[in-house]
Amino acid sequence: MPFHVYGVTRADVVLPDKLEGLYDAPVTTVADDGLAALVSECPEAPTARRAELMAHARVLEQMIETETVLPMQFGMSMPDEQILCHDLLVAHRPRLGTLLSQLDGTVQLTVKVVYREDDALRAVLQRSPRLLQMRDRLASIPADAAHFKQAEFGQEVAAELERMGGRDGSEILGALAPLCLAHAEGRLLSPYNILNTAFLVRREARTRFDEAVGTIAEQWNEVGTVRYLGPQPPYSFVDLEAGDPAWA
Amino acid sequence: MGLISAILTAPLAPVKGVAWVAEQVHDQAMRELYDPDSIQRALDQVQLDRELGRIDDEEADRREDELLERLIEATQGGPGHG
Amino acid sequence: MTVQATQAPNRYLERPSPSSLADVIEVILDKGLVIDIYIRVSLVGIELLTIDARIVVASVDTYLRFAEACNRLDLKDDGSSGLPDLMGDITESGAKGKTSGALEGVKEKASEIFGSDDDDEDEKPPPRRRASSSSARKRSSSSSSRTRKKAES
Repeated sequence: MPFHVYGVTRADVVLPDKLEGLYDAPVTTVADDGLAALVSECPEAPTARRAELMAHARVLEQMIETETVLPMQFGMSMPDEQILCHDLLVAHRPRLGTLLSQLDGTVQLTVKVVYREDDALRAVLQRSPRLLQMRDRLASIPADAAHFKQAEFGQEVAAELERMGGRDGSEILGALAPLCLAHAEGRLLSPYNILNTAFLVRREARTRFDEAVGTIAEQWNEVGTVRYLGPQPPYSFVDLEAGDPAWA
Repeated sequence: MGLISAILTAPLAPVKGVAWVAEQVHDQAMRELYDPDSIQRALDQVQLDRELGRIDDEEADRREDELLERLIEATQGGPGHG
Repeated sequence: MTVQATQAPNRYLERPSPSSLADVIEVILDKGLVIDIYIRVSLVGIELLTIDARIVVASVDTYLRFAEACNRLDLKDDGSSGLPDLMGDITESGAKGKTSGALEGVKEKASEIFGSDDDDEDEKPPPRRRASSSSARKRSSSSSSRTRKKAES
């Protein structure tokens, strides 16, 4: 029977009682010489619906509370124990061992900051007398006549919004970066998204990090919302290929 | 570059005619529909709408399921594959 | 309408929130360890429409939406920083699901994607230009003091 693989940890791991994963199957381990893959049995052709995705994340987030776990990307399906041992644990033993030591005692925490539209646009206009004037001038022209000028105005607003967001995002990152071992910036999907960063934080530094994020949420409350996720396994800090990271 | 520029600057574009243009527009629309960033953006928006109470949980779930299905199709190369 | 910190306990959060489906998808489909021949679904290697995801394709339509969002803004400081989006919903047309602002472009895109609309408008901000600008957060001293007064009242 095929296995769905959640992650890799040490063979002496203690699993929580009755931990269930995809399709309510029990989570077990397949071990080889000190390393263990966290797995559960799964159908020949697993689906990727909401339930499966959330189950995968849930298993990992439960394990990371107490263990060092290297998360697999969702969808790793291996046909049997032998292949799993050979192609994952044995084939990548040195790298897996190195990652486990490097990531011991750490968790990933993700911070996402998004401007509230109206508040951000208001800030843009209030900081630029020129844009404010453009807006006032346009208000006195009938909408259909001003089509082109409106687009020009909109383009300038968007540019200013992006500049402002870049600066604010950097400021927030600057406040949090000293409190982490490493950070990995994610994609920003709109000019209103100003931060989307994964932080690798020592477990003993978590409270301090939590407080810093709380402070940022409070400081930025006028113009944006903060989304704070974790503790997560180090999704953004594992790679079977790359060389030694700076924090190790 | 934008779709319109791409069409107008493509070699032999005027020769290809209306059907070719229509196909380009369709292809572009499909690329956007199956672009993982666009889908992620839409998923984020559904979550925001849910949290702000703009849509109820049932509607939010429905939209998310649809977007997720499209995302999975995107990982398999788009509609009609896998 | 005053929104007090105590009414919105998660506004000044010091504890992480549970991950939503969007959060999970963003992280488990293209991050983490992967061995190519055994991965069933993956976003790794999928060609993205743009390198900078904030720039989809520049278009007049997106700029018009930014302009429209700005034109509709009430620039008198009304002190409310709590629920501007909901307020927008209530005070704008009662049209279901319609809100103001450039984020409307994203919302409309979402409805385009799963609705029957085959409109191919895009959210297209212009390319980023390097320039320093003041922070969104650092308001003029007058508006800061108005905010403080609001909190005290």
